[in-house]
Amino acid sequence: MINRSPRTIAIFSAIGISMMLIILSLIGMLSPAESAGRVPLTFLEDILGGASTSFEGTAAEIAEIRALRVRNAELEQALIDLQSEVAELREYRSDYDRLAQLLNYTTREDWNYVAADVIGRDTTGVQAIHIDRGTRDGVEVGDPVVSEAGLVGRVTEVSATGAEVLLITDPASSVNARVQSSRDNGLVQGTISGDLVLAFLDTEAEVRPGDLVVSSGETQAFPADIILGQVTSVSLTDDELFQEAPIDSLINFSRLEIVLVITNWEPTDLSFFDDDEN
Amino acid sequence: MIVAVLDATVMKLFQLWDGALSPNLMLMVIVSWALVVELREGLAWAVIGGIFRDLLSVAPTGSSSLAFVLIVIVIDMFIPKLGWRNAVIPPVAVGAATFFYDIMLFILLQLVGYSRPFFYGLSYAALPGAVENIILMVFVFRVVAGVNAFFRPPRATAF
Repeated sequence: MINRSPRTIAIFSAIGISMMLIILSLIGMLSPAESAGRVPLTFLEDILGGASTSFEGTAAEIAEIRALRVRNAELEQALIDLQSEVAELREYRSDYDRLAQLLNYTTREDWNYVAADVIGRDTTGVQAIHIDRGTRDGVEVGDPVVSEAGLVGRVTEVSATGAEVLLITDPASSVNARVQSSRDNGLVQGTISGDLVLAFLDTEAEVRPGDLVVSSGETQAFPADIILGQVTSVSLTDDELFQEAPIDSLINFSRLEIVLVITNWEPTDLSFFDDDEN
Repeated sequence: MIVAVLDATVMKLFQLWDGALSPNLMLMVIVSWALVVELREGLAWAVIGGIFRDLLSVAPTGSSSLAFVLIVIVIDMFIPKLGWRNAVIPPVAVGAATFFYDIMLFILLQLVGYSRPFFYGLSYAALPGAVENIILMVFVFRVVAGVNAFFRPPRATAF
């Protein structure tokens, strides 16, 4: 005989409700309710996230004053070096502009950016951040997210007033990339520890520590030529089929405060090539 | 709702290092609640708390609810009511619950496409997360038990 005590009913009800929610969420039937439910949470997150970010920022700033003084001296020297380089590059730029005009080549300076505050982080260990801009501000799932120091990630979920951004440091993220100096291609992957690795580099690739790595735009998951980081070292993989290089991002992902969402980037439709294969 | 938001905002201040899990305040509250109240009430909070937690994550809604519900059931089965008066039980319970929760979430996230290495993830994220939860549980449990005692003072025993 089935035991129908209130305890048993409560247990089976709770398990049943949870499993039903998972199924409905996976097939997308809860999307409108989830979007609506995130609105008050985003509002509260905005308030508490701002307060905790300020506290964290102040505490970190106090601890870093000495390191910043040393860094400042280094940067002043770097600035002097860079100024001479900039003068040289301006010459190249004017040459480039003239040649690009001749070829009718357009650069992507027409991107629309929406600035967003980072108001929280994913609570399940996935390396993702919450921002305070949503569909109301033109943000859509798939939009690339950048900061002044390079690529941050991509919008994976969005509500009217907020969005979740999967960071490029998450193991589920991968970005087609190239080494800026040697033009060698690879794949920048996130790791569970939040670091970046440039993988699948050809064994013949000439990559050196300090080389800048940028997105290549292949597969059109992200725009091209956005900075991903600098190579710190290079080594052969265990199977010796490829080289791989840990990348030091210029972004401190644990202290991100403001990001920019590119709201009008439209990837080139590559489905045409898929059809050809079939 | 407040606990879920605190999890996503203030708890990041307690991250041991970049990228690792921060303490799971919702889990601590659910485990504490399950230790001091009746099963049905614990289950209700597990479902509701899980929904709010999942709304602030990439996991499908209901994932945390299912994990919390199973944790509450196990606590009810193995820890007799008032057993929590033993000071060791709440931290031990939350330590074990952290591993259980992280494994459940790992499986569900894997199913929806967020792949990550299992054993490395456990040692890098779940282990430090469990240690942090065990330490903070000492304080969280006192607060939850205090709130419960405030709203539901023990009745006088009739002789």
